[in-house]
Amino acid sequence: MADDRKILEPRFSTWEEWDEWTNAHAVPDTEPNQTVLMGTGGRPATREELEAYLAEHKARMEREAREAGLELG
Amino acid sequence: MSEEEPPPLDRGRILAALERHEVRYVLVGGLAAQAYGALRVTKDLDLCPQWSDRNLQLLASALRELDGRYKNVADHLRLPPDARLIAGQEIGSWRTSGGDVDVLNGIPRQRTPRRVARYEQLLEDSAVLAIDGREIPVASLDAIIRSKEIADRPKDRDALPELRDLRERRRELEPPDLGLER
Repeated sequence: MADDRKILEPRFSTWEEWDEWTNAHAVPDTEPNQTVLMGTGGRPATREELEAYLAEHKARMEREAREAGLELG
Repeated sequence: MSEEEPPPLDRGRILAALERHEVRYVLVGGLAAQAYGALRVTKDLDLCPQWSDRNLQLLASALRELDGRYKNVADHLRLPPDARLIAGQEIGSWRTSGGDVDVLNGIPRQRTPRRVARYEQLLEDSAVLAIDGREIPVASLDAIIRSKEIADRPKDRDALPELRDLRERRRELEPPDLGLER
């Protein structure tokens, strides 16, 4: 890609200033977790679906570690 | 479920970690909108990485360096990031020591049939955010607006008027391909 992209110059010269401003002005994000699992058509996962996915992943990692003779911390 | 407050923002540290691990990504979401002048912001950092095994491994390493964990789930499921876990989610949410990071496989670009704009497309017409001596790719304002129009959640609908106004103002200020470039 030819690098002729526009340069955006923010109002802040450092991240420290920007973060400070953001902390003071950010709109609280009150929506629940918006995790979307692959193959679900873009639908946010319910907490139960997400936790089932994470539990399955964790079990698979532990199984693979055992098979490899490792121990997960 | 753990619902503790996120740590104070330190987005410079997050972006420095991404750079150290040579992660390829484009900024999207609220911070990207803010880079164009939007005042309505949330505190997380949304990024759309190149969706390759290698790049997701690099991303997982960067997030682990930042003590990243899955957020808003039961404590025993607050897993550290790894490439397969990231790859299994279109959108995943991580809490790091520098603030919350959302990892997106793409952002909506067409409603029916459903299509998303991925890293490569977003990079193609991205802009560059220059700050703290670092240059960070940012999705185009058009892509951000389109994604919010399609996502159509209440917070997207709230954000759209300001973003459309910013786009109009930028068009007025910029002759094609010139304007605010330096």
